[in-house]
Amino acid sequence: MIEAYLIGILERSERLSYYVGSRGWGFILTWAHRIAGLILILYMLFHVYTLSGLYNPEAFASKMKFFDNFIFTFLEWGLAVPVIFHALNGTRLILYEGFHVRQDAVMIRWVFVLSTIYILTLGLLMLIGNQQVSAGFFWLVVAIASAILSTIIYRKIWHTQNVMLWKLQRVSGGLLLPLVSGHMFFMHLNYKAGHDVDTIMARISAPGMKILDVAFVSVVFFHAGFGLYTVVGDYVEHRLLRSGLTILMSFILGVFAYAGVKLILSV
Amino acid sequence: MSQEYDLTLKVSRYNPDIRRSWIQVYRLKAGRILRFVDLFQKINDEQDSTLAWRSSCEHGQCGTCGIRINGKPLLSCELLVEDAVRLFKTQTFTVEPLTVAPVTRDLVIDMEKAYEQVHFVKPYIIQPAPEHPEGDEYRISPRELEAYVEATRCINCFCCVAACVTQKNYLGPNAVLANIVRLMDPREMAKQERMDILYSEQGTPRCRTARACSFVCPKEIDIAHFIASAKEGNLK
Amino acid sequence: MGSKLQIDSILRPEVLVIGAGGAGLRCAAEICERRQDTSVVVVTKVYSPQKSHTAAAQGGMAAVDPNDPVDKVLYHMFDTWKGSDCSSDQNIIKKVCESAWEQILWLERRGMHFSRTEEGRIAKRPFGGHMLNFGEVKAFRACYEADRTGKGIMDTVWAESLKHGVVSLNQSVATELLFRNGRCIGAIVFMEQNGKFVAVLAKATVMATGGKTRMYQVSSNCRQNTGDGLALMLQAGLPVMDLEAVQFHPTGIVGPGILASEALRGEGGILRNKDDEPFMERYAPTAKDLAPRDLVSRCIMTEIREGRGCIHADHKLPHVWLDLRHLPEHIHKTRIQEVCSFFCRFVGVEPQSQLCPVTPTAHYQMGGAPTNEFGEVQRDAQQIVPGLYACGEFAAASLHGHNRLGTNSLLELITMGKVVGKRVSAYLDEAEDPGNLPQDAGQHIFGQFSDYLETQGRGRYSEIRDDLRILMTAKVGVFRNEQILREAIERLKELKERAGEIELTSKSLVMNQSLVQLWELHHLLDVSMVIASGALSRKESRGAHYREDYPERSSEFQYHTLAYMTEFGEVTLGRRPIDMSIFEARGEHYEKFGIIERKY
Ligand SMILES: Cc1cc2nc3c(=O)[nH]c(=O)nc-3n(C[C@H](O)[C@H](O)[C@H](O)COP(=O)(O)OP(=O)(O)OC[C@H]3O[C@@H](n4cnc5c(N)ncnc54)[C@H](O)[C@@H]3O)c2cc1C
Ligand code: HEM
Ligand code: HEM
Ligand code: SF4
Ligand code: F3S
Ligand code: FES
Repeated sequence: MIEAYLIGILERSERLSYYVGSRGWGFILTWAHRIAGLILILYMLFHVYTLSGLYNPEAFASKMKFFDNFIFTFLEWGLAVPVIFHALNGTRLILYEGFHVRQDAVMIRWVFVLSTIYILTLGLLMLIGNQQVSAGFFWLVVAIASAILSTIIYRKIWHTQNVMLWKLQRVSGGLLLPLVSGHMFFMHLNYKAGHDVDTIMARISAPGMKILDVAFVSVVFFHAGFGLYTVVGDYVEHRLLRSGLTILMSFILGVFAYAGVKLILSV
Repeated sequence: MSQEYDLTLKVSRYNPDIRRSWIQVYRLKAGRILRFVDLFQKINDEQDSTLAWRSSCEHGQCGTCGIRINGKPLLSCELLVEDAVRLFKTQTFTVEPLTVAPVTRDLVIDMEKAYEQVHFVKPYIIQPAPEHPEGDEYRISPRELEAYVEATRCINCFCCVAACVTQKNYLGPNAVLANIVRLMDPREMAKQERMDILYSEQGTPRCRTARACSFVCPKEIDIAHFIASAKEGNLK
Repeated sequence: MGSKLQIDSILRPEVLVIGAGGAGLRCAAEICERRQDTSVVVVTKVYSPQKSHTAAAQGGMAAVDPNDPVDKVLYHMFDTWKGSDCSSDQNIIKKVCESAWEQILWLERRGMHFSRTEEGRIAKRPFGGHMLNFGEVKAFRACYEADRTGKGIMDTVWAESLKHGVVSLNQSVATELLFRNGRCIGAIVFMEQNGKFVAVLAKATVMATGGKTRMYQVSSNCRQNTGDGLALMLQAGLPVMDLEAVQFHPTGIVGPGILASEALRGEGGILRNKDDEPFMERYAPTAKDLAPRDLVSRCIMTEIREGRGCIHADHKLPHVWLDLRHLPEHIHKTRIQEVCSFFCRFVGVEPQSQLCPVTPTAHYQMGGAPTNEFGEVQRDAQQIVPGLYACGEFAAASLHGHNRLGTNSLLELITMGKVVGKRVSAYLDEAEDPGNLPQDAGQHIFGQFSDYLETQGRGRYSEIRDDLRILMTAKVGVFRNEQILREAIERLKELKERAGEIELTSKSLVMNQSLVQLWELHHLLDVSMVIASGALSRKESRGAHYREDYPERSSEFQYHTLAYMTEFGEVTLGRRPIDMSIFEARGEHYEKFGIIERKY
């Protein structure tokens, strides 16, 4: 129902229907997955940069003030699109390539439906803005879900002869699915609190949270880094140039990852 | 029964003598069941004998005539005017060569370049299994064969390669498929050599399961299924 | 302009194979297996050897499995002899039929994906003309790979050639054979992709350029089957044999000529004319629609000639109907699905509810370059041309005589490819180096090309091509007689003249399709001329060659026709005796190999 409507809208775009007609939906989704991944990387860098403001809570609070307006709220909501799409589509890919689920058309529909539900719910939460769940409890649930998912994937694919990093990419995807979608969700249960310096400081300095956050940062940066590496490999034929770019990317992402970890551990 | 269509073909052209490429528009009337190869012949006969294109068997068996019509890689000997009009909901078609190799002239590309990838995966039996104790042919049960027989139908038309998201540093769907066929073939002993090719950097990691290959394959081979099975380590 | 017409480089492999289809590559593989590191160069007109027309064969490859409790090689030999209308060579029949199973195993061990029986062995299916007990019941003798046997063969021999490092000149045409003192030492090859000429000097040259029936309006052959190889032979003053024997498959799909397999009639399909009458009942009351190919083709043409055919609305070609509507759903769905899909795909007809338009399609050339049982090309009935070999559909050894049985062609090209490979390997050990490029090498082709490029005239390529096709179909087709053949010969001369007046728009050498097509057109004309002359001289009906004025076979013509033509239209005819060695050996059942009646 929803997806049929959505697809109807999407097909109205000439460029899109050109590709749907000539390459199929899978092709579009792969591109969308890639673009979403890249957007997320950019966001991640920006995110760590803003969070680094936490070294100086007052400055951070004033910074948050700056973002506290309709446009940025809307953009924040918009961020849910790449987040949830990439997460669900990634899951679809893992299921197709690792779990022998060949009903791709059905999965694509689910990606659309679930994404829509997530995005709308998130929007709703942001409007209502006063839900409460204990952070400890929420993150416990997410941590358990992550552990279970990544273990399932690990057990399914680890014995194959695929490249190690490739396999890690899938396992990290499994970890990230609850982590990222849950993180985003949680941050918006109570929109005001989610942006409140004190609440954040309190949470980030709790020892249990520290472990989780460090894990989160490392996994995301690994996943993003390897994702970027493969994308570069798709376009750059020249070996030297490819190595150069890889080193550059690793360096930038490494610096940010380090900054992220350091932040969590020292704040 | 016999309906005529007024077609407009926007054909990508390239002249190697003066290194110029341009789009040439041909308008022609054509019966409903002419194939695109017939249209090209008609253009040669009636309007422009210089338009270069390629075909051979002209009934979808050899894979010589791969081309892009409105962006879709397909066999031009298999596409009837009537079906094209229905499929693309228009009577104007852009006609371009496949993107898998440099253009030699107009719609003709240097397929030899593209074929190098297929040669690379060694589409033969590298190391044959020992003979059956009772001699004669190897025994392969119909069920064993069925698992990969679909993949043996590939005619190397390179439509899938043209459709794929990954255009560089990749063996391409058809070459990977050719490798998979021999991995599944019980007569091949050199499995590890094949695995090494399969999982190498130019192999399966470059496939993003875009499934465009399966979408365009004129032989309706579900290439993505085979590649995914290879990733699963489930080539049985 | 003229300056570009020069030999750009010289290649010196040990063996040159012209034509990289099933036959050519089987031969190349044999040579490489026998003599490691022999350098072999193959030439093909298409993008890759894999695209050669062998890949289009569907039905199967005949071979008697020694494990078969009922079938015998002798039956296969008999069927081939009978099918040929007593005009094939029995030494070849014996050689080919006896090594058939070995060749199947060769292919299978090298990775061909044959269809299998429950026990995992190679499956076999019956095919027209193949019988047990000297024509009593149908035999399961055709080994097959689903409906793509030819593709399986092509892929296998192509992959083997890769394995052995055979070098392939793709998208290239052999344009002139090179000789020194009567020995063939290679050829000039024109590479379309870059417009350059290469001289290939080799100790041995193998010709395997395949089919040659594109001079008919409706033909199952591919675009490249324009008889180049035969034209090269003729130019070199060498003979061609039995060209009048052109097989017409009765049910080609109108227009493209794609084969609608006999299986359709085997499953119960009925041929009908314009008035919906199942006309085969009239001609062959017992066999009806399943009568042999040549007979059915003649019946269809008779219907058409007598005004009971239809004219196809789109293709404007005459045809009859093949009715499959009454066949049960499950047959449509399981047994004839692929062939039926051709109707859907190529003429937009739904065979389950609509009548399918079919017409006889030029399918196979039984004749070709005359060779002995080792595949050595003959100069005349006694002498061979040193260094020149031929195999495949291009050659006539002859296994098929004046009519070929289904599935025997694939068998022949694999076996004879092997035979030639073996012979060439032996020859290489003793043969001298081809030496330097002959002084006049390339003069012939350069002359031709500069004529084509410089001509200013008003002839139109497409008109001449279409006229030729109409002419050959009408006058040198299924039915022939003295008068129309004479007319045809006159008209061909006229067409040849007109072909000399064609002006090319593009003068480039690089991938200039119109230039190569013009060159091919001349070959089609040459070959057509020989077909017509051979048909005119053979005042009898034999196999696929049918003369209305001489409807019976005649012992007077119990020989192969050799034809020479160095000047267009000046055809000199010779004869080659038919080998009857099985009959003469007086072994068991030898009487079956005498001059017998061909009746089904
Ligand atoms: C539709 C169809 C179905 C058939 N089904 C069957 C069947 O079921 N069973 C059976 O036994 N037979 C069948 N046949 C017949 C059989 O397929 C052919 O006779 C056989 O494939 C010919 O093989 P070949 O190797 O001689 O030639 P081809 O495979 O035609 O190869 C010829 C090669 O020569 C090259 N060439 C041609 N001219 C030149 C030149 N001037 N310079 C350089 N290269 C050149 C071509 O590019 C090509 O590589 C069928 C034929 C057709 C058309
Ligand atoms: C939320 C859960 C996530 C899942 C399930 C997931 C899953 C995947 C999978 C399976 C791939 C491999 C795709 C392929 O190679 O075909 C992938 C690629 C990628 N991911 Fe994620 N991912 C997630 C989160 C993220 C995040 C948070 C980022 C960025 C910060 C990210 C960035 C990327 C990038 C850049 C790629 C490469 C894209 C490409 O190959 O085109 N992913 N992801
Ligand atoms: C727009 C919605 C988001 C908000 C409001 C938000 C907010 C926050 C906050 C406040 C923290 C501090 C730690 C904590 O409170 O637990 C944090 C940490 C983190 N966030 Fe987000 N986040 C959002 C989206 C995302 C997304 C989409 C990703 C992944 C791509 C992400 C990745 C992370 C990571 C990895 C950390 C760990 C802390 C660190 O790096 O120092 N966040 N986020
Ligand atoms: S897999 Fe399909 S699309 Fe790709 S080359 Fe083979 S036949 Fe063509
Ligand atoms: S289109 Fe390309 S990405 Fe994979 S599934 Fe097919 S090879
Ligand atoms: S020409 Fe052979 S597939 Fe189209």
